[in-house]
Amino acid sequence: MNHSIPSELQSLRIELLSDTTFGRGEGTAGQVDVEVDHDELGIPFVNGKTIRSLLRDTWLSMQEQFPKLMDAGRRVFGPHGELDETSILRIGRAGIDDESRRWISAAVERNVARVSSTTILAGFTDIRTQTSEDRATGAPELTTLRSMRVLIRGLVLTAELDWLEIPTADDVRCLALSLLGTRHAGLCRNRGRGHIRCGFGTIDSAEDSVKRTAQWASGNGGSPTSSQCRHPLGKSASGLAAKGNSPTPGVWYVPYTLTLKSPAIVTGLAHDPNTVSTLRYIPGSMLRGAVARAIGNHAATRAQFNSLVLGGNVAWLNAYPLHQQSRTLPAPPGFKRDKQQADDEKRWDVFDLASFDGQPDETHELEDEDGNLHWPEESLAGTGESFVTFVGTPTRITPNISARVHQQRDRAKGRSWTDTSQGGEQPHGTLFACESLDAKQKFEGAIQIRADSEAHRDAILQQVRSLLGYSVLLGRSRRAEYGGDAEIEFRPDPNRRREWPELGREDIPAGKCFRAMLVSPCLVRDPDTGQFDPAALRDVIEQKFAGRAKVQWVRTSFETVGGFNRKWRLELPQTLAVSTGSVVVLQATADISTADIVALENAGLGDRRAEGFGRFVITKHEPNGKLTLTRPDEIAPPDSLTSSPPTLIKELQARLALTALERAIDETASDVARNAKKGSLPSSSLIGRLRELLRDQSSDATCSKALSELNVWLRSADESRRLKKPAMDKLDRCRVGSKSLTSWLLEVIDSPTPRDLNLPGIAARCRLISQESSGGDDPALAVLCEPSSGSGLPDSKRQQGAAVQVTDRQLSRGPNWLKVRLIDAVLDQMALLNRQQTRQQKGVKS
Amino acid sequence: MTHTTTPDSTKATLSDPGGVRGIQARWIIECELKLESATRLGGRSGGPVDIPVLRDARSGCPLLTGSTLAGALRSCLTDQIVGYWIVEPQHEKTDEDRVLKRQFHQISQLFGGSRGDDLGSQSPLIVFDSYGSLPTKQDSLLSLRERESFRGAKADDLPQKPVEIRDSVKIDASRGTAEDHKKFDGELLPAGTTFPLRFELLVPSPTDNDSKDPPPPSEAELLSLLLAALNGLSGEIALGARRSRGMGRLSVSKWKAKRFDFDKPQGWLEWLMSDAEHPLKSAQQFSTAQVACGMQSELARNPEPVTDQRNRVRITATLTFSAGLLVRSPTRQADAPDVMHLKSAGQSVLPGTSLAGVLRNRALRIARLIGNSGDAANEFVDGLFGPELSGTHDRDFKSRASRLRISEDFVTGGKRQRPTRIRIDRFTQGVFESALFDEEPDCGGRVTVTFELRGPEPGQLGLLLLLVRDLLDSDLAVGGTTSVGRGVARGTAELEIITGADEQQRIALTANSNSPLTGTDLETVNAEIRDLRERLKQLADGGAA
Repeated sequence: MNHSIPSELQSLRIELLSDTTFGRGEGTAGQVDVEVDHDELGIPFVNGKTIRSLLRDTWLSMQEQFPKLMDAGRRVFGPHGELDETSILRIGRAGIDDESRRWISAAVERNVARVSSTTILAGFTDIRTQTSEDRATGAPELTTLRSMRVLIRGLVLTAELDWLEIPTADDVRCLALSLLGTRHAGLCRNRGRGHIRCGFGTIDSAEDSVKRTAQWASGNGGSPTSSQCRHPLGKSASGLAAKGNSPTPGVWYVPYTLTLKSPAIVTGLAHDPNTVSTLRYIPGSMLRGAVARAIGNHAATRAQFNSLVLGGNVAWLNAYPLHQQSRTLPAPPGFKRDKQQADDEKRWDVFDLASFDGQPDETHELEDEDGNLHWPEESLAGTGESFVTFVGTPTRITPNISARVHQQRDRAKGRSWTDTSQGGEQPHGTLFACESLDAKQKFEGAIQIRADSEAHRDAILQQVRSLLGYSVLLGRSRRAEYGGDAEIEFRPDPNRRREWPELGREDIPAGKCFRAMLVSPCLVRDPDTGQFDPAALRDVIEQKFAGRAKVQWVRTSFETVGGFNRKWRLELPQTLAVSTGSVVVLQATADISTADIVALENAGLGDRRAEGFGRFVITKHEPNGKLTLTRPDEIAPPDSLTSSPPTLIKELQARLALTALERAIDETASDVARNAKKGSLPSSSLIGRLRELLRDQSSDATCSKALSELNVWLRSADESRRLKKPAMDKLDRCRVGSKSLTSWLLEVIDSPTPRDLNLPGIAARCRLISQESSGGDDPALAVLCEPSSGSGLPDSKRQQGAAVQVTDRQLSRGPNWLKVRLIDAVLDQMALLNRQQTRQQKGVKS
Repeated sequence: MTHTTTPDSTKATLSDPGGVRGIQARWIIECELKLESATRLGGRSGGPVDIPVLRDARSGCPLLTGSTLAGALRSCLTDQIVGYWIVEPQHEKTDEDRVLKRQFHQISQLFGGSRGDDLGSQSPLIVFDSYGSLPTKQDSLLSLRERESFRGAKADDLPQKPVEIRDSVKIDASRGTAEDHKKFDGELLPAGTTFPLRFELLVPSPTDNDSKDPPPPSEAELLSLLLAALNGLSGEIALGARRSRGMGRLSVSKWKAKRFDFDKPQGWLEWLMSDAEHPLKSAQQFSTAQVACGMQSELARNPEPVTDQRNRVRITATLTFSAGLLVRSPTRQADAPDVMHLKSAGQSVLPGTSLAGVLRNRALRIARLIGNSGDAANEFVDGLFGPELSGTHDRDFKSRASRLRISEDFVTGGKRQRPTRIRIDRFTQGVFESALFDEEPDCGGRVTVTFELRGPEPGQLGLLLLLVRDLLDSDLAVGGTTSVGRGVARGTAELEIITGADEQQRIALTANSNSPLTGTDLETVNAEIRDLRERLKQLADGGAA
């Protein structure tokens, strides 16, 4: 949060006034043809790109009438596809509030009685179906029945507004006007769905939001600069507690952690022009680019640019996923698993091919009697794009990746944009898919600083921190949704003189084998031709050791690397590099000291070393042959939260409970009816007569009336009011388990709640709110048993039911409704069985 | 992270391949829709009834989706401009095709590209979802307890009528009784249910002269199309299922309109500051859309009339059921009769489905008699009433809506009587034990029924005239217990033959004993009967369908 700007301007609020579909470009098989965008917990959200485009559309329509705000419009929304990124506003993803999300997360990820993400999504949504009408016949057109999921109206979503500069009053006014004018969004927005109300503010500012946004739009909102202004980079000092001012020149490593607060597209090489893929790590060149951009193109800062960017003093090393405070490494290409092992297995037995000399074995054993290892004969497969830890138990980490489909719309025509440049409309180039690293992931990298002294080192680090600030935007499309908005934290350690201190270091005596493992891609050139040639690694390494070591074998793979230079507006040449994790096994021909090893590591290999390429570490050669990689255990979240749940969670709880209850009633009814003795079912006409009583289920009062009437029909002493004897006989003859249908009906009528329904069990299946957080009662259960006379629940539970009731929603049911609904469902099932029996008797195919 | 803005970049425009949606004006039009007959706006199946009503997931109130309403308006406007049952030609091979293409293009300017048209535009008309209110109970319908609770309350505060549940059965034409396992029930919104409707029309700005795109429609064109479509809400349009059987009839009132001029910043600001949910809360109400819009702009006062291409025939019959009418409906009260005549919204009603069933059955008999061919009769009657659903067993089956619309109207002036009957043993002529039952027919009631034949084909009017004659002559009984004389009616009718907007021919129809037809009226009716005979002969001879 930028403290210089009033908090109300740092988020926007979207209130759904009608059911809305923010589509995700695909359906869910067996459920809906058009699915709403939702995350892994089943919580719906609106992509930041969508919001930004909606606001931009609105502004473009009105901008001509506000010429004084033209410049503000350009500052707020920025030109299309502009590499200079002059837009000062970044819009994040709109979702529910963090507190509600925390509650849902606890319910979905807990160890016991998890609520599935599908259930959560169903709690937020409804499904609408529609068909087209055939004009020629007036009947529904064939194959036009489609279903679409909609977010239920009333939901409020908020998105973060990240001002990259202090906005002027005009900037805020421009955005406020766009917010007030954006009233329709999502699919079928011209047909009733997607009616929204936007404004500044958070989820709690329902009444103030529109009023305040209107004030900002009128230019009467006040100053967009907060009185509590403080410099965003107010935190000073490098953090390196330099002990004295030692003049010793040297190399230091300063690790940094990047915590993604939003998804990031770290552009990788994609084969499809309409697809943007992401790397699974954050290359150092990205931070380098951010620093270069911050320094700018000025003569006065040329020296600083040379020092920090062109590799004079600083090299930017890649950031890899962080696992339990430990930086991981891309899995070496020499790690191969048995092909029979499934991708999602928790443990992988992995062959480390660098352990083998590549010689075939006559005994077909991995290890012979002398302890020599022989090349494995299993069918092998790679480890994919995973990362491994080398500290403690070897662990396999896979960063979370998501993919979204975006569409470029023609604003006037309201559909996908089509290319008209070649005459006629060509419907292509309108859909594109973006792969991104998910938010809330941590990556750790390091910067290598070459300095004349510790003071010099501190000064360099101070410059870097000042230039980068507290957060940095990474990758593509960073003005909306993506960009990572990564919080950067340096963890300076004055004694850190090696990139990977945890990978041991000792002198290597002559004759001993050791490994050189690449920890970043490496660009090496053929010594003869001068061209990039990854196969030249063997020679380059040997040259590095200047005859003190000889290469035994290499286990490498190659990859294509590229890049993009924003200043030049050009893609960098794509070349083949040796992949990270590639291993060269060497044998020392002379003693190699630790100092030499450190010097070699610090120097790196090949080209583009300032961008983090060519990093390697020297480790022991311990031919294990096989090792086990495990996936980390999921961190067990708390079983429940104990604070008071937000209103949204109460509503969701009620909706989930009722959905579960409806399903349970149908299942129970089916069981009861099927348990009835064959041939003893009452006639369909009698069933219809009984069901007629139970039709009005609109309230607990009508249900109560129906039950008392049914009670009279079944047991009244007045014969004129009872069912006729033949009808009673039919009910008595029908056996449901060990009792007659009459007894079963009376039992349901008399019981406080139907015994056949396991209400606590149903409540447990959909519980978001624990008993602790609700003060001792079970809100899920309370929803199922609305307080009502004769509910059979203790008083405390009735009161809890009242607390859970939600205004403006019909989300509570009473025990009488429960009984009526159950009896009706059982009779319905019996009528169905009757129909099936008749059909079977008539020989008609069911 | 700090950020530097370069001077060059501020000059860059915001344009992109997506273009700009220029808007010249925005119209907001609101009105209140009231259901005049029971309406089935079906939702997803499940629950206690076979066909539930679509409800808002948040509040539980009835929901009329914008897509339903927009579809009805589009269909109505298309009927007006190109005529009933006419479809858009795929190619422009003839002059007629070209005219039709142009007419359909005109419609798509208001309602957007049709389904499957990948290069069509979005609709400039926004039709909102509407959340309905059930009608409140009249004082006479309140229970004793309710009357006590709501003593002195305003009419709007009285309890609401519930959603109705109506049973339906399929009648076996050969036996005249209900088919086995063909009973189904569904929820219906009662007459009197109201929906607040809201439309917004975005008038596009004129494009530049050098633009490649065709010029957008003018405000006058869009307004005239919109007003023509909205006029359909006053009688032409019915909503929901079974609308050809009288359900979903509606009326509209309380029109409000407001035009925001987006060529001026004040217009934008006025709209932006308006309430997103209720922008016309305090606006003046008018009786029609044209008057309401005319108060805002000269363009709406004299809209360019839309050429009406609709050909239809309407017969309005006034029937009196002096011997009683009993369309069975179940009862729930202990002291209620075993069966009673159907009520809707608290009043006796003659359901269009019952009348249509009876007429169809009789139509088959007539057609078989005249055409002397069962298949030809079936085919001809299917063309008029729509084919009977054959489920999913017949893959070649193609459903079609009925060309004949039969209204569902309230029966007025009748009295509810409760005669008691008992079953007699045919062999002994004695009474059956415990076979006493009572019924509650509506006796002496009067009902006005409208039959409308849209885009009639040769012979169809002739058959309809014969059916109406039988109805007026008490030769055709409606409802149940017809064997004891119930369901027969007498009355008069008027035939209107409407071609386009202005041409109308009116013929008064009465029972045979009263004033017979003469002159051109007689010639017209005889010509239709002749057409019927010829058409049936053609079909029997294997002629084109």
